[in-house]
Amino acid sequence: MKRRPAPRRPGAARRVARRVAGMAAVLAGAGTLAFAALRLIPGDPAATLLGGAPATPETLARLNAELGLDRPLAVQYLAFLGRAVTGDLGWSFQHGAPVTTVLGQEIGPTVRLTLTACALAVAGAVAVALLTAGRRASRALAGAVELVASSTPTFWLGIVLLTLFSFHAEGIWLPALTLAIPVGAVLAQVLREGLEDALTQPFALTARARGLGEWRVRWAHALRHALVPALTILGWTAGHLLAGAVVVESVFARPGVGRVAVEAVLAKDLPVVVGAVLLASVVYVVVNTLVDLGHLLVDARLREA
Amino acid sequence: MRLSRGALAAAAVGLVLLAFALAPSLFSPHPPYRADPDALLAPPGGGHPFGTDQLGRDVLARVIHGAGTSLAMGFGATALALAAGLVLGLAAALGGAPVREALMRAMDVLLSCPGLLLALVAVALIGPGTTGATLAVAVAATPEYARLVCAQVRTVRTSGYVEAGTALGQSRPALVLRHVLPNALGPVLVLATLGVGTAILYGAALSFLGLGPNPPAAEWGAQLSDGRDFLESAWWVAFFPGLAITLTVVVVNVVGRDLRRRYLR
Repeated sequence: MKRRPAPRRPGAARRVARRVAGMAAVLAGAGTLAFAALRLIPGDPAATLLGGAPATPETLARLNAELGLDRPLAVQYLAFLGRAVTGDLGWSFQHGAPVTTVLGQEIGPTVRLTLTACALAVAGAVAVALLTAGRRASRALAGAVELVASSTPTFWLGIVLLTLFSFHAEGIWLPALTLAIPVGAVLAQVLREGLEDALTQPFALTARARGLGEWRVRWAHALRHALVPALTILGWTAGHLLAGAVVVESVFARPGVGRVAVEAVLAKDLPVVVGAVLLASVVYVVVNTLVDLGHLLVDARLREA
Repeated sequence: MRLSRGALAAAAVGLVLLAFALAPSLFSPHPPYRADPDALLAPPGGGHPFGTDQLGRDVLARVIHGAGTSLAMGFGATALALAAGLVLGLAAALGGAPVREALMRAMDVLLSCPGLLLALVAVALIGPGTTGATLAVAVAATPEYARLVCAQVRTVRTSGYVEAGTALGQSRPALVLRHVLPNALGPVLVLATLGVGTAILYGAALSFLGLGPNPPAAEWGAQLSDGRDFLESAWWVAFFPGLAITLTVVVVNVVGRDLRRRYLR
């Protein structure tokens, strides 16, 4: 991390406040985009809502009035944002239920999948980085494996793992592993680079001079420094896990938000698509904000007011 | 342009893939759409090195013919995103603070959505198919290029040679075209090389989900999706197209990383 030359740096509290305000602005923007996406559907919104079911002009007009679709766009927009904040994301004609209900039923499996994958990826990446940092042969091997792993399409990896492990797809481990491998590969690269950088620093030399073993130096001293760049990547990781869940749930025929979203795209059920993506965006933005604030915890240089 | 040994090997493989994409019939042992009812799901070997699929079509032939579609989607989406990013980034960098703020905050909003999910929304709006999926991937990739172009142009604009050009009385468009753009573009192009890999992955993912080229088109993601139903009896239908995607993305990433190491450190 480079120090900024500014003579007065904002204190931690102001930093947090500014970051949270920025997050709120981006989320409001995402809501606006969602509204625009929903209004981009060609044709009469009420007709779209009916999913092509035959309807008289009177029925359409009544539905439009009932849904407030005859009001000015600006009013509709504000109403949309207001409802979105309270968790009302519209109506899915494919499921015949509110979008929130549809997504709510599916969110549990997706959360379990992404969290398990995240844990696997982080644990694997830390282990690989600690083992291979600064060791020529093993780092070359790990580098090659990581390159291939990060270039592999998730859906193909899932299929290969399924075939290798002879279709024991019931548990969460195979899908979680599929999701974890490409992400873990990138994390391992970043962590190793950070570790190698940290191991050349004076503090590592000092620690060694104090008679600490190589493992102690790596685990207790260097790792903490390697975490700063890796933490930045963690926000990216969250995005990949969320997007990867869409594919992995389809490969393993698991229930979840991702699979519902894909089915909704195929069924042209736009409110569900937009709702699911909005949900993912909220998680993504919140994680990125937390990651940014997490830097304050890990990197003491940023904390001083 | 000097490349490392690994990157040279990757570039060689890349050239082979490019040859497959440009003239598949020269390399393919069979036509990609000819169904052989006597050889349904035949294992690799004999006349079918990669086996045959559920309709008796040669998997190798379809992988070779699929190169064109998959590469065109990846490169096409990247080129479109680069063009859009260039226009937006230039407008943001040269249009003054209000324009810049508006455009860059809009890009922030688009970036608040993980790439593949943004492509999913875009494809829902544009409609599935080869063109739809390519456009959707381009939409998902645009914000990053726009941001980078904007940052680059702003850095370059304050440099000595641009100041000199201004002092010499060159017109603004001439300055931008002759000095600002060529110097700002380097890092953007290097990152676009890596972007092609991501674009190919996203394109294949959309096809795999049934949102890409329509059957019976030969395309790797769609082939993989077909093969999913026969995993237990015929792994080769899904395996080889996936291998082709991975190989292509590895090639692109090796070359891209080498370029990045060379020019951006």
